[in-house]
Amino acid sequence: MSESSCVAELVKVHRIVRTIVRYESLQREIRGIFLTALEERGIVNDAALEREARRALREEGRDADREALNEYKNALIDLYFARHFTQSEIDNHINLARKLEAFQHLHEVVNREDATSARIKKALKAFCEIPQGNLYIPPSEAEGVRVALISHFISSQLPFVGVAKNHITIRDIDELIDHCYWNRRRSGKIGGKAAGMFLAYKIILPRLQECDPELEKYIHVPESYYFNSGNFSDFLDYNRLYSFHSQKYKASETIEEEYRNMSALFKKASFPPDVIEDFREFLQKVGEHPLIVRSSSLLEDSFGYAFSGKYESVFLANQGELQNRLNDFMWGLKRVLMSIFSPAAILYRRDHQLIDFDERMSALVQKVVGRRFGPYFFPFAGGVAFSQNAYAWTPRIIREEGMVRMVLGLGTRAVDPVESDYPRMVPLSHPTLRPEVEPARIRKYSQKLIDVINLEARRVETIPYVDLFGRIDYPDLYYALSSYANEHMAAPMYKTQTVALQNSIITFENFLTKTPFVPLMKKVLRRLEEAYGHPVDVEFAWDDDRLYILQCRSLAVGEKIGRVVLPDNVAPDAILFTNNVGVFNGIVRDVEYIVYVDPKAYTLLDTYEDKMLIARLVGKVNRLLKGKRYALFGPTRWGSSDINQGVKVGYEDINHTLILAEVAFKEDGSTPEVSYGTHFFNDLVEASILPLAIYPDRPETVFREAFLLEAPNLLASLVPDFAACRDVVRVIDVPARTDGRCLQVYQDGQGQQGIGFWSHADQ
Amino acid sequence: MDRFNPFTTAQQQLDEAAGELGLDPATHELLRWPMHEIKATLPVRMDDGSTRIFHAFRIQYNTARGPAKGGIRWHPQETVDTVRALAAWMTWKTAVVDIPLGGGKGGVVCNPKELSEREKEQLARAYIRAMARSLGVTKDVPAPDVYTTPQIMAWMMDEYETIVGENHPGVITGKPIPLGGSQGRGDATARGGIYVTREAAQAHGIDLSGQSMAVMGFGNAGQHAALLGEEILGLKLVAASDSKGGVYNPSGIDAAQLVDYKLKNGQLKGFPHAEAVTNRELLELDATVLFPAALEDVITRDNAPRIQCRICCELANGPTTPDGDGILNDKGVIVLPDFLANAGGVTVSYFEQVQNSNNLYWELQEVHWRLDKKMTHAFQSVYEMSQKKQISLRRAAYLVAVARVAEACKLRGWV
Repeated sequence: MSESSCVAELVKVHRIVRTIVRYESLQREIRGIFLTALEERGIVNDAALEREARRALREEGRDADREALNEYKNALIDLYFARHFTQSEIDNHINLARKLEAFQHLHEVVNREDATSARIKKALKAFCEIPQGNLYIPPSEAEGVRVALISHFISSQLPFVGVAKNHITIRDIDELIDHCYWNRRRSGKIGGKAAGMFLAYKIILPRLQECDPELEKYIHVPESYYFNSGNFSDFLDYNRLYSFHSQKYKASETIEEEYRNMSALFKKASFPPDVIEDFREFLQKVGEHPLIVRSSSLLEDSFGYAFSGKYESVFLANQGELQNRLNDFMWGLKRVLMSIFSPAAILYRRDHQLIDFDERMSALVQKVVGRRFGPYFFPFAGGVAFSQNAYAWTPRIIREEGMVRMVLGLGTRAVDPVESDYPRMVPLSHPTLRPEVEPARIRKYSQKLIDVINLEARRVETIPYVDLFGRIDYPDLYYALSSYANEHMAAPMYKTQTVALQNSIITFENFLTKTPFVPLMKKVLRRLEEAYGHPVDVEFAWDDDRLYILQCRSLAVGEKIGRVVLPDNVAPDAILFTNNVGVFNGIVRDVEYIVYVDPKAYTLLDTYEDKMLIARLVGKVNRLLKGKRYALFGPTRWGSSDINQGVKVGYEDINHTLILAEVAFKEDGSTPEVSYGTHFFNDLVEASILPLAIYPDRPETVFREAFLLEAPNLLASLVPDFAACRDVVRVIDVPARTDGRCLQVYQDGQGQQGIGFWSHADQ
Repeated sequence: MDRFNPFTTAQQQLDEAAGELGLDPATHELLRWPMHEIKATLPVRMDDGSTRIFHAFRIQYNTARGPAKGGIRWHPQETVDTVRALAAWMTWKTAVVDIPLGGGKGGVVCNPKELSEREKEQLARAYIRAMARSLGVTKDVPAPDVYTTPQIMAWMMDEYETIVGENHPGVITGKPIPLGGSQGRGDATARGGIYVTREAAQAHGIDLSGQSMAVMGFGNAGQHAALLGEEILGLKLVAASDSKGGVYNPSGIDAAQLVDYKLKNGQLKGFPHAEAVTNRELLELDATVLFPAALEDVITRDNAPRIQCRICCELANGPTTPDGDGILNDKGVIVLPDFLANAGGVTVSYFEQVQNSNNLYWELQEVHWRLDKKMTHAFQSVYEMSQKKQISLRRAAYLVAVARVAEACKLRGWV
């Protein structure tokens, strides 16, 4: 050995000794790890070291007692380690010893009965401050701590934990805590929506497993902050609003009435001063960037219960004076909190046997994805994507490749039913395929209005896209628009090609064919579904060549019943209807009552009030028929916010029906649009309500309207107060009119064929 | 249950006209049947590598007055009898507007809702390969129809030119403008309807200036009818509707503003300064001119007695049922029948073919001027026939058309 390498080795040994002295309490552990590593590489083992130490001591003329032997062995370990390992390997092995110690402490703290968040955070911080290196704690040992941490800070829903423990590391939780605003007085979790989003990112962009370069390049996390449920518990304590915890046990009418007055009460209530200071500091930190305050309750987005649209999400322009921003922010938080007491949410919980769960609200606050153009702020596109595509109008569409429902601008228009405006529905297996063929129909069933945040007016605005892009210079129209002139529709051929807005249609043609969006989204959905072991839906935004996942949850899917085979021996006079568009798999047997809202009579109602009365009546009949096997048939677009398009019912007005059928007569403007992907639709699927659409004017469709119009109407006896509506709403006792037979409904989603017919229960 | 057969209906209509004209049996029989039918089986390689077989037709119903003219339909429920019936109606339509063309129609049994763009292109080209020998500016000139678009016409034209090795843009009409499409096609249907409305009013001594109009259906034809009704006829738009409902203001609605509103909002509902009106109510409003421009069978025996307009210009196909038609005629409503009122489209298609053949393209004004001449002449012929025989314009239009085709057959010595 040359003199210089001898010196280098000496220096390395010196460094080891110095470090070991620094972590004196870990001497034994560090050398134990060194020795194991030396043995693993076949350099030296414990017995050989022992022999060498004895020989050396003999040569020195010293006694080979245990102390002397150990001293010599330790020196030899340091020497061999310095000789055969690089400096960074040395550091990694020392850090592994440190991590194991910190880990033991964390393990102990997190599993204590009286563990407080503060203690756990301190132990977690101590662990995470040690450089990660590339030597890890054995996964089996880490799993217990991961589970405990996930349960404590994120979610204790077992199905969630079961998935999350495989993807969220201890360090991920530390990172999450850094973005959390905890309450000093009350503990809490970050809630389901935040948990779902966080988990999604950890599945897509894992910390420990190999990353996919494409995902690394395009997937980005919106800057997110978590205001855990402790903040809201503290708010209720501070304002002595404890009684609201019992709101859920009151009668529906009382809940509705009290909810109407709640807003004024919450406006007056305030957050404690220290919490307000936290908010102020938070707003200073994020600056004047638009925010969205999203509900993230403990139950929300848990597996199987999506709470679609039950809780509020509030956009904040977050512009101007800090005090104004603070006031807006606090009101946004209060609105989100208040929505936990809303009638729709409470009813949903009742229906899903979740009412006794101590539901608490957290908030996920995110910087809104987008860019500013003039006074407007919006992303290129937003929407919702599904890993399984139930909206397949042709068997060619591969359901397993998923689908996307997207809009230009804020994604709000893609998740709520919107009147006369249509998001782009994209089957990911065939992204350019659509159920309309001619350009005029494509225009009709396309998006016309866009949701944006007006930063000057400090509100979300809905404006015709033609107006918006007439006012601002937007660089990405190439990806969104197609020109439509003289009956010819075509996507722009090059980026600088001018498309006259008046002669344009939002088609996303170039976006779907000339960006990586489609393969990327397919990959994301596949990964998430594999990790969840269940179909998922995600809310997303796309802007500036980046894909942001805003939310992920397990998708509401109907009971898996395999291929439904339609009976082929039904007598023609026993058929009530056939359908073959937008058919979802399902079988509903033995329906005893049909409630028929006559679409033609409904259209003829003159006033808004008359139509609202029908919506109320439907709700009333629904409550009266609770426990009966009934099916609801009526005009298209149930639940539409536009009363002229459909009966304006909420989930609570239809939750006892087994079937929700849309009868689309041509004159009512039958549309290919189904509400698939909207919150309303998710409710149906979760509640096992079978949706179906009947197009009576299609030649191949059977619809025996006369039966529904001529059968005796039970409405007047069922709801005497509403007898005047008997021409619009008909309640029919099916067995009474069919010799004791019931309605049997078979829907074959794969073959896109459905039938409803009479038969006895045992047939 | 027997399925409705449109070709049987078409033959019945011809039988009635033949009887009224006193056509000799041979001419009548000749006109009852297509002169030339082509059935083709088209193999198309799909995106997934499989091959699918499509069945296709081309019916050249009658070419006595010129090359066959008519669209190509792509529809999953297509039948040869539907194509035959539509080819017959094209024969009468080209004859009534007196353009030197015969009638034809094509169809492919397919569902374009499940075909990718590449597959559509393959199918379009396969169709032309199968039919090319029978197509051409001097033989048969297809055009877009149900589920076929200008882009599909462009592919078809290209395939045809590849086969014959020459430039023949006139082999097909309804092409995108950069490939030889005509100016003025966008509003041709509505404009043709407006010209015949003008002539009808004049013939009946009705001064339309300042009078009212209602438009049912606010797609392409309806929007242009409202704009041109205002611009050319001086009509005041009082009501319009689309599938979501309508708007009404007896004091008048600015048509351009309404079109702009529809474009931006996708619906008429919510247009300011107008009250809501249903489609049914719109038909029964007090308006001088009614343009049914959307759906079939909206004027029936149920509502016809309450319809108040003086002129009903059928821009849509078949908006009036036979019962409803009878009632309107009895009430003295001037019904401008669909195959005259909406013949502006096929006329401009013919103009496209003429320009292609001459390789010389007209200014928009020239298209308008020529269309005006054709439609005016067409109305006058039909009106004269209706006066002479004291029959409705619908019946008169049939008689004019059939007589013209019969005359051409005769002159050729076919009968």
